[in-house]
Amino acid sequence: MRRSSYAVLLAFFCLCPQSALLAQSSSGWLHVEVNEKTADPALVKVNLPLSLVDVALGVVKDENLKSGRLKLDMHDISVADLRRLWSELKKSGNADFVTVEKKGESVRIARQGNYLLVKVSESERKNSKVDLKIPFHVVDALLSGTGDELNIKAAIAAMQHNGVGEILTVHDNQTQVRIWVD
Amino acid sequence: MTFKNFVIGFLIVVLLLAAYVIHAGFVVVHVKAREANVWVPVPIALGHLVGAFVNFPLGDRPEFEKALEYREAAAEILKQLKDLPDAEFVEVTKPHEHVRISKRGNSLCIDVENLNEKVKVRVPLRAAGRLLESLNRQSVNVGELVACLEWQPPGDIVHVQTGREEVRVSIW
Repeated sequence: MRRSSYAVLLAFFCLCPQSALLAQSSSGWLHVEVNEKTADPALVKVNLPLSLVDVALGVVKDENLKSGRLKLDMHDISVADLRRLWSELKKSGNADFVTVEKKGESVRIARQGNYLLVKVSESERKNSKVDLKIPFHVVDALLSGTGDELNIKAAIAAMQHNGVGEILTVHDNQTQVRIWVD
Repeated sequence: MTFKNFVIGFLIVVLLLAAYVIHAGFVVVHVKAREANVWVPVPIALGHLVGAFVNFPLGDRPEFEKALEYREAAAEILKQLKDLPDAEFVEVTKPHEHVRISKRGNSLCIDVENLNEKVKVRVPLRAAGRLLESLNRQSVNVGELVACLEWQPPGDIVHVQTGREEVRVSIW
């Protein structure tokens, strides 16, 4: 998978769990751990109560992020396309939606119960692996915005009603990322 | 007789004032460098009293106006922080650098350490709350700022250590 697509995917789903986590419960905590083993290694740990993230989200006044809504500027696919795609995917039962097997690379997007699973692994150039597990209701809430906006606030609120565990893990030669809520 | 009563009354007032000043605490600024060693204790109650006559007009400064926009959110965050258990919110570890933001007791602690310097800041949450309340006007009163430090638990609130000097601001 290309690095740019990888980054977009990561950003999209990192925000998604955040919001979901916040909504989950006022006592829930969001944890992010990034371990970089590059020439300039770094270990970053963030532990924040979801309620605090919710408040902070309301404060951010960025060009693309206002009032808990993130405006996406994607060229390959629009948020409207994502909504259409998502509504179709939801109608199916447990199934593998996308499976790509290439030499040194595999991608799997599937539904398992009430979760959307995305698994990407690449072993040719660098040994990387991405595991993403998002509750359906969180994606629903995230896509409940209008236009090219992702409704992060709503996704957070959606998370308040369900327990969430491990959301995202990324492993490659140089970087490990883990996002979870408890 | 009258003079004796006056002296007793005066002594009682002085003692009460002294008790108040001592109980309100002291801010001690200690600067240690190669060429100087300065130690300045300032009674917080006195700073509160004297500072009450000093106002900084900030209303016309755009940065201040912008900062005021975040006051409500900051107040909400402070309110939530008070109810949280002790925790480490952010920790960044690099080979020669360490940053940690945490809650310890009733204070928010920020520790930054690298090869050249060590910085430790402890922000008592109650003092931060009072500070926010005092920032709701077009000018900032120095007395109110100093008053934020009254009745706070003792200890360092700022400690900066570099190769050349050391600055410590403590509450006693």
